[in-house]
Amino acid sequence: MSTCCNVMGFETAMLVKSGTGTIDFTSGTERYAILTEDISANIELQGRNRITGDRTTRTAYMRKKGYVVQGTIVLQPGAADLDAWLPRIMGAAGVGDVFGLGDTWTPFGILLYTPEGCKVIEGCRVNYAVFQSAHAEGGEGEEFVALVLNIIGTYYEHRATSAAQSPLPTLVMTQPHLPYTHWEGEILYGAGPDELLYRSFSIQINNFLKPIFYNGFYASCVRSRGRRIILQTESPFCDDLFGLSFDWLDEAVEVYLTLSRADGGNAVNTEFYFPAAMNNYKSPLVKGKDEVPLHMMFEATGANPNSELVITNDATW
Amino acid sequence: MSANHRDVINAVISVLQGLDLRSFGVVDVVERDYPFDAKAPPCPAIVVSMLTEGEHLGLNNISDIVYPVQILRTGHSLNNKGGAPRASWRGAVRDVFDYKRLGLECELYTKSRFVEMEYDAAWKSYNLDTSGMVVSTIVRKVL
Repeated sequence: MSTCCNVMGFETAMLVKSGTGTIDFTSGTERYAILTEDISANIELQGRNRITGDRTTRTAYMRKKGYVVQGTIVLQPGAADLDAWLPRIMGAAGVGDVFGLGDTWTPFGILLYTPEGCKVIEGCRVNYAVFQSAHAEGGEGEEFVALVLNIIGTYYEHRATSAAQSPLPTLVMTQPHLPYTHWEGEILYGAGPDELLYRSFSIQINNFLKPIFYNGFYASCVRSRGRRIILQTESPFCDDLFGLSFDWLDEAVEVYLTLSRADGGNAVNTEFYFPAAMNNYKSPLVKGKDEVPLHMMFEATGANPNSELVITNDATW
Repeated sequence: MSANHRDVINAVISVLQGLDLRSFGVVDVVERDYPFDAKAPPCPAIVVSMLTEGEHLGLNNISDIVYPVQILRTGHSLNNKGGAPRASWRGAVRDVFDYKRLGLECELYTKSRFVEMEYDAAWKSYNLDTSGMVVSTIVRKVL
């Protein structure tokens, strides 16, 4: 029996590799640093309503139910990391720097290495992804744009750690891998365009994935039941914006959210383009003496599935 | 290789030397340890000092280190001839560092904040008018 029970989060390494079926993590893996991870396998027992068995032979009518592997990873990706993640989120390979929507969510495997054993999750797809920013007032608060990935997998395994199974590539930390910050974002709307000032934003791309269990224990496949893409903002309340937010209730507006990380003559950019977004109107609320925020939720309503959202990711430094 | 405190302080000095120092009533940027010892700091001058590092939030496998640098402007009196008011130099310095990048390896970003408008100790010990800023650079380091 191992006498070591002090494995810490900072000793964990996350490896990712695209592919179907059993993933070979001995080469070609991508390594990421993460904020949190909570992917778990949840296997329930099912007691069937039948007349066989009695109190002494309970196993006669108990069996394993579905095998659900799901959880969330939170990371702070740079533009170079997004080149790998956007096809998994959008359901289509990119063409150059442009990533449109599709219906083939590239499966991938995740290996969470610890010195005391590995978590291996295979058949993974991105159920939903959230790009979110937060404004930290004062101090040295956390202001980096985070990416929350909810993953559905089809297989989970604990495996003894072996360097042969999971050699750890060096964590890449060049400039295009550094995260965007909250204040490097810019939201433009309309043909003008005008700039929308915000305190925070989040973009949610929900693929509504569902693991399908026929008569088996493992999910035979993962299907999408639809897609919803929304951009949420919290802005300082002002009269002009208040009026526009109501007008956009039934009038689609073009919206651009651009993240840009510059350093001297170099820059990386990621642009989220909503060709037609409608606002789910919510009137501002007065909370005591504090300032009055205006919350807006733009619903991507492109004319066809491929134009609801287009992401251009230029990771060239 | 991620930048370290030495790289940060060198970059801060380089940026300060590119400013119109005479408009602040000084002609030089010098580096001194802080707190100052028995000897008075250079005056008039912009005095740059290393402050204690801090740890920002980080990810697994990664630490985000905050490297603070104190910037003081020293003058012989509050109304020295040709010298800018305290608020003027502080505003100018803040503008060149706040939410900027210094071009360092693995630099997440650099922020600046106002600190003391008047250092009592400098006034009482050395008869100097001294006001300050702190510039902090956050650098990401792989563990």
